[in-house]
Amino acid sequence: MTALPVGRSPLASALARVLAWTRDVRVRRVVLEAVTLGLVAALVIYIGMRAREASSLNFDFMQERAGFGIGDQFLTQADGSSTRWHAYFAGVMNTLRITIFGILLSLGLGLGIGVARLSTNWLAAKLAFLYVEAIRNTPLLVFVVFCYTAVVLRLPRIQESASLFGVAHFSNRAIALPWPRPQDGAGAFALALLGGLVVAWGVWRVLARREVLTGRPSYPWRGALAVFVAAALVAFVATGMPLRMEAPEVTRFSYAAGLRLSPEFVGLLLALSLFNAAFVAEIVRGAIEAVPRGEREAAAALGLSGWQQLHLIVLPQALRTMLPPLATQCQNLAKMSSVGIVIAFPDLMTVGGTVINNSGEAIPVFVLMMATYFALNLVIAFLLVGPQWRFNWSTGRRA
Amino acid sequence: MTAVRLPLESGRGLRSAREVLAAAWEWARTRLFNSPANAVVSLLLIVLLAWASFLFLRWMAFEADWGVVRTNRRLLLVGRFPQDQEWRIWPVVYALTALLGWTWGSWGRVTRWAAATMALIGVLVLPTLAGWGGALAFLPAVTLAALVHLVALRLATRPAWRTRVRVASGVGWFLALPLTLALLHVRGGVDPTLWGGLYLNLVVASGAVMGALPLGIALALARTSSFRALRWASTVYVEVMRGLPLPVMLTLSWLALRTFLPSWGGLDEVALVYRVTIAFALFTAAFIAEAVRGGLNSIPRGQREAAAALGLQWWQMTAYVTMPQAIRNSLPALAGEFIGLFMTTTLVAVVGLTDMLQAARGTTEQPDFFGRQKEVLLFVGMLFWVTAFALSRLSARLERALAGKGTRRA
Amino acid sequence: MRLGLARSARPVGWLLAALSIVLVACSSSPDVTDGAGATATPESQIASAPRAPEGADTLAEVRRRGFLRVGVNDQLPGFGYIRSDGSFGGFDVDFGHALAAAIFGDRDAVQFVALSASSRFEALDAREIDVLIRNTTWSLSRDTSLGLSFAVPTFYDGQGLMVRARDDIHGLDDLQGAVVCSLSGTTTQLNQEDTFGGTTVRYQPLNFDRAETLQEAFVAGRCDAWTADRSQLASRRAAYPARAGGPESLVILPDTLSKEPLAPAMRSGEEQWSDLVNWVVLGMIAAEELGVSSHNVREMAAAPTSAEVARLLGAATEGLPFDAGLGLTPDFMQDVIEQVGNYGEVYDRNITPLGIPREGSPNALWTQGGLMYAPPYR
Repeated sequence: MTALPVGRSPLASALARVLAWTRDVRVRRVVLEAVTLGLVAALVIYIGMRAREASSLNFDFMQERAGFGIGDQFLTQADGSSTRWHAYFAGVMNTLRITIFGILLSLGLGLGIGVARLSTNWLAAKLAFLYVEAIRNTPLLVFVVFCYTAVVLRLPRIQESASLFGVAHFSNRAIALPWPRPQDGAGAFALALLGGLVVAWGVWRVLARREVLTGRPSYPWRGALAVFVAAALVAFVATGMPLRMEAPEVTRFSYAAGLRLSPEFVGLLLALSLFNAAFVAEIVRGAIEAVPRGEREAAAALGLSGWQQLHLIVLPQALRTMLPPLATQCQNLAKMSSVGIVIAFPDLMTVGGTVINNSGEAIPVFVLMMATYFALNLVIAFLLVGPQWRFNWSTGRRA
Repeated sequence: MTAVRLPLESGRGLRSAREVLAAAWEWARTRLFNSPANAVVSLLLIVLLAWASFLFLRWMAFEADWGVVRTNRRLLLVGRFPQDQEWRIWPVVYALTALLGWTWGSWGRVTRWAAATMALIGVLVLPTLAGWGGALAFLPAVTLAALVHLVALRLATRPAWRTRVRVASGVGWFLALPLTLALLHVRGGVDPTLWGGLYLNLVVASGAVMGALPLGIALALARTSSFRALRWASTVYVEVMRGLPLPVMLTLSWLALRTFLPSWGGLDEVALVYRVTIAFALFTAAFIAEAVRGGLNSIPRGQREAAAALGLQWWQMTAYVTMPQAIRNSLPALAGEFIGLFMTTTLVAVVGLTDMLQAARGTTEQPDFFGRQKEVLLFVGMLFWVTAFALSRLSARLERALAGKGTRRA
Repeated sequence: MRLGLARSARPVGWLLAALSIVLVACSSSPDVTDGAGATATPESQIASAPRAPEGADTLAEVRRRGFLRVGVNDQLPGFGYIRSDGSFGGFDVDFGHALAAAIFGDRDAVQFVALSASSRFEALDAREIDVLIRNTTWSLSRDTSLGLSFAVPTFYDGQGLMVRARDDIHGLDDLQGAVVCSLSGTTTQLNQEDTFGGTTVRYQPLNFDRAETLQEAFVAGRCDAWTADRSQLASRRAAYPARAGGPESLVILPDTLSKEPLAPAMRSGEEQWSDLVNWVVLGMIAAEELGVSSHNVREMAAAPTSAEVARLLGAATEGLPFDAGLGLTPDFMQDVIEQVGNYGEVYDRNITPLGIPREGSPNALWTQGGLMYAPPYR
């Protein structure tokens, strides 16, 4: 193609060269790449320009007085005179709270149900199957509304507050549980705990190394746990027992002291974790079934008990397969928590909506909400899929 | 599965009570009490189950009042759709039920279980909830579905016809939505703000599927393409969509889609229902893209190389070799996405549309039915459940039927 | 393995980059404040929606469409609610019918769009509706920064508190530690914070997105007090289910937390359209004052008792009928009064059954000590 016959006119040879050039696969690639890039960039720029046209994307209004109160807060104290930033942050903390506890609950519950589906107990397996099918084919929103209005709001009124041995109280005002309250020296205790954690980690490393190097069982987890518990106990006594259990008391309209969980939080938590547990159960079941049957049979042949087979052979392998889908499921939970708006849970969607309504600044608040959910997703992905990288490190590349 | 059969089922007639009892005990022993731990678990579960069913039955018998559903069934099914315009809806109902029967027939027979469940719903549940009139209105449609089912079943037994019957079912589903929309718009049409109830959920869901499927496949192809810009753009799109909560996306579409749409041809004047459907489609496309990408990735490299060796162009390879297999491989995931989409259409409430769930929540405002939220929510949940469950069974059947076809990896 | 890690982390990095670009773009966007406007009153604030095109003609749009679109409440008995046959009814809804009668001579040439408190302004701004009549409070910031323009109030309301009679709550001071429930996205939410902010009473706010959820929660005992406009509270109280104790089990406290003039809202910058809505409402008030009702409107039009009545009804007594210049037929008020009624009739039909007395309230005619006062029709 490149060897041109001699004796052509310069124009013809130039033309031929250009023609040859257009047929060159590499050139075509570059041109096509440039064209797609240009199209994509044009689209992005168009959207950006339209957005700029509609809003100045100026966040000053967030520094104005919020003007509305938030009843249920987690580690924040925003009220009507706080800034909108502060109120928004209170919403973010509520989303974080529901996400964290929702994930923990649904993982625990889902693991149990997933294992139950493969149980040798006929009833347990059938019930778990029924549960999964019932939940997966019902819209979450129906579930959330039901859990709130038909379950949590049906708890006794505050005037007839029920109590469990006088320490925990239940009513549709709150669920109040005893909770340790930090006293003087709690800071020192927290520091000591952190130190204990570091030491325990060191012990785990040393023992785990020894186990690998010598092949003798060294029980790194038990050793680390023992060290940590011992450190915690010593620190607790040494700092003068800085935590005192505090039982909640019934007051006229609510409870004082202790840990008080609002009905909205409990209802949303219930709905989200029961709902997600069904999906987690399916992931767990799939991952366990993906472990070759032979592995289990081999373990059984070696004389391992059912529990040992599960937690030494099956679960560690299943964990590797289930982590990525679990991470996605947990991200789903974080996103789904935004339906809390229908039962008055003041999460970031609810608070954001109120701010939009009061200020009229829709696009900036949306940008803020999107950024917050993205950050949350990234953190979840990092925390859950992060270990996956480590698993791959320790077990080597999969075939 | 059934190592021990109850004598009742064995077809040898009734034996003595002792034998029945012994067989029952044998059945329970092997399944419920095969180890001490299992025995404890079983007992606990039995007690729990008994307690829960007692509470539920007591509520059903003495407290529940289904009048709220009977009175409001129209509101729940079609919202405030004008009564004199109902001729636009019935053909769709007939078409859909017939299509369902046809599809089910062409991919296999209705199992005894499914038939029994449907009969139970038809005979017991529907009249209780919706009144005899409400149930009878659907009788012709159900009869048609059953007849069509039998015809499809008979035709599908002939190998020569099987493929044609199946293709027809697929074509039917793709024509269903245009038919629905056409009926809603011909002869003056019904304003989209009047669409409501379950019908709205169905229209939004199917519209979103039709939009999301091609877009999702395109995104999956872009994401596996060798062009960097396409790959990156698709990746960013998919990740952004997957990172956003749907309520945020919906509200955004409501507020901002109009801002971003160019004003050519009144594009920025489209009705809210359509904008919401677009939002659902844009959102679902990201998930479909991931499902299809999973299917594409599962195709062995050798197939592409073989296709290239045969001299197939990229689009030929995609259309004839990779995409059919990718779709087949990702069918379970795709079905899951569609069912999920159908259920998340309840979120249209965020933008103020009155779908079935919102209609249901509204009924408790009527003084006669104050505080009947449990009944109406249960009904709504059950309707969603039945639809979604039927779809998931259908997809499982489809999957099994397709699994026998084509090449499978060793 | 290291390579695999980097590869799988790439989209994440990409996202981070994109995110930071967006954030940087946001923070560095030059916020245009010229020296004159020191205190920022941001112009046109529902920033997302396109502004009304210059000289947008809603009336022409409505005429072209053939019917009016009105945003209303669907959950407030007495003001805006859905009947079990699916049609809308209520005080606000009747004003929608009145506008349709004025424009098309047909009270049913209107479509009602049910809107939540938190979505109503966006719907108006997005041109989903032509006018918003949804128990909406007229306030300064809504007039200016939300880009709305309000007609004359159809109902003078005030925010109050409703409590259970047996709870022994008699005033704001008794609400220390109590749960006060309200609807989110309303001025209610802001007023309650303003009112309690000045006192030492610390209450727990709880904000719902829908009234029926709030009512469920209130009935279940989740809330001690329900704060809303008094009219809404009265309508809620009147319809309070017997199973939950009936109306007698509830008390509306004497304390008033705010002034709430409820008025129809339009997009600002549409003079003619605003005038039309305004004068239809005023015409209904004037009709009551002049003694014109749906029963006698035809006779009055045929033989006006005064020049003012003749002008109001566009009756052709001497020469040409009075043309209001609203872009409507001169006799538009005849259709309105005949098909919907005057202000008093609309009030009696919708509000009186709720048990909200009109005498002595601001909603009485000015001749009876109220605030309902129509400027002269001339």
